[in-house]
This record gives sequence, C-alpha cells and structure tokens, in this order.
Amino acid sequence: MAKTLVVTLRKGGSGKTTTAINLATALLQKGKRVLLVDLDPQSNATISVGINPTTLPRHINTLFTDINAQPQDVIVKTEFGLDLIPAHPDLADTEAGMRATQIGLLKAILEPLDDTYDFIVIDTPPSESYLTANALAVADEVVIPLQAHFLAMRGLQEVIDEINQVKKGLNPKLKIAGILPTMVSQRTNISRMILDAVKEKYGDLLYPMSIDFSVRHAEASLAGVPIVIYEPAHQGSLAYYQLADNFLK
Amino acid sequence: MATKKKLQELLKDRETKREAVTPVSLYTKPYTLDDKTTGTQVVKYTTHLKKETIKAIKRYAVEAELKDYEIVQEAIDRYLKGKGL
Repeated sequence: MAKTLVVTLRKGGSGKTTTAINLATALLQKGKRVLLVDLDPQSNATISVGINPTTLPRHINTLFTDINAQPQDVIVKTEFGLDLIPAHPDLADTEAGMRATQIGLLKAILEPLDDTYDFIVIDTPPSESYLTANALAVADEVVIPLQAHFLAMRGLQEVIDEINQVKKGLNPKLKIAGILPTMVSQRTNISRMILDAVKEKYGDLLYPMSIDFSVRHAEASLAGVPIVIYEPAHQGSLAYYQLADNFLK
Repeated sequence: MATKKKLQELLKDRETKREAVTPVSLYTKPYTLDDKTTGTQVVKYTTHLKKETIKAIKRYAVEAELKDYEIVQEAIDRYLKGKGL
C-alpha cells in the first residue's frame, strides 16, 4: 500500500517543487517504487524532471476532466527512471471549474495505483486551493519546506492551521512529517533567527537537516534533473537523502 | 423530519466518487447567443453526455433544421416541468 507524501506551503518560492522532486528521486534511488504527481498548473515539477508538459497528450488534467482516463495511461517515465503524472497549464481552468464537493477526486484517481507504488509524492500549488485540498485529502503525511524568511514563517502557521482543519474533517489520518528548512544561508543572522524561532515554536516538527541556498539547485532545474542526480555529493543532495531515510525507517 | 447524515457518511460521499470536472476559463467571457425559439439569451454550458445521445441530438437537429442546443433546451425544459420546477 503506497504512502502518500504531500509537499505544501502556501508561499511561493519556498522550495516545494525542489523538495518534491528530490525526495521522490532519493526514494527511487534507495530502491523504492515511487510516483511523483505534479498538481501545480505551473508544471514546474514536470519541467524540472525534464518533461515538457505542453507536448503531452495526457496529463493530470485529463484525469480530472475525463472519468474514463486511467492513471496508468497518463504516467510518463523520466530519463532517470522516475514515474510521473505530469501537470499541464490547463489545470488552472479545471480548478476554476471545481466544486467544494470535488476535493476528494484525487483520492479516487490515485486509488488504482495503491499497490503499484511504495510512495506517491505530490507537489502542490502555492495557494490554499481546491487542488491543494485534494492533495491533503489523499495524503498520509505532509512535508513543509520552509524558506528561512520571515514571510515564509508566517505562511507556516497558515498551513499548519489548514492541516488541522483537514484532520478534523476530510482526512483524520493526516499528519505532519516535518518542517524542512530550505534556502538557508548559514552565515546570515536572518536565517539563524528564523530557524531559532521555528525551533522554539514547533520544536519536534523541525527536521535536523536543512537545504542550504545554492545556485546548483537552479542549475539542476535548468538541466531538467533533480540535484540528487545532478550532483549527488552536494549538500542539498545529502540532506534530501537524509529526508528520504526518515520515511524508510 | 429528515435524518441528519453522520459526518463519516458525508466524508464517504465526498471521498470516493470519481466525476469529471468541467474546466472554466477565468479570462474568457461566457459565450452567449439568442435562442430564436423564445427570444431569450442562452449561455454556453458544457457537460457530458453518452456518445449515442450526442449522435442522436445531432441527427435530429439536421433532420428538423434546429440547433443542437434548441433540442437539449426543450428536453431539459420538459424534464424540469415534469419535476414541478
């Protein structure tokens, strides 16, 4: 039975996509059967693993708009062997047409894949939306990437409140796996201050590892591969391997 | 008095059904045209029908020299009237 991990935070540019693709790939490299689901109309996760969403005949949007479409028919394999349900810019129109009663759709869509994978990792859009609610409704655990920035820290409480709401109704089994500090500049006071404040407030939820700010992440996106493929010995790669290990215990 | 559904029953309804979402463009004005039969303005509305139903609507539209939407409109008007709506 697949464990579903959702990477989410409302703030954009917090490292959601980087975390989703690297966590998924690290789990794959550790021998697990992994599916990455891109649920963001911007399709950044799809692009970051080397797939051009506009050239695909089928994608996640197809699964939302055509009940006869099967998830197995939509999955594409990246060059490095990761299975992906790609996103598409049309997903924005589909979300605009969604109703509140349709936030359980992703669960129904992914159900046939439950025995095919050990892990399903879902990247979400940077907003409180029907798509994010769909992801939280199907998730077992949530990973929250936290940019070491004041505004991201404010967004952190919002996402924790949202998760608590979902636990009360839509998905009682949902739990927070942890908060992963991203884009940390170890030498700056602001990074240290933010991480100290988060540690004080959220204590046990804060992962011990963090992803340092590095231009290598941007280079890896440009190359269309996760950093764990682009530069496996990089600080970020080692931290993502450590994050993956947390789910293998 | 109607029985109030339990929370778990409501959740079950929301979580298990797979249904098609009809996309809506946020940046395009709704497409409208005038219904010749009633003179009222009609608005584009997208939904799903069985293939054979669509084929039958199109065939009848050609034979009766009507627009597809005029047939669907009449059928739905009759249905709703039958339900007292």
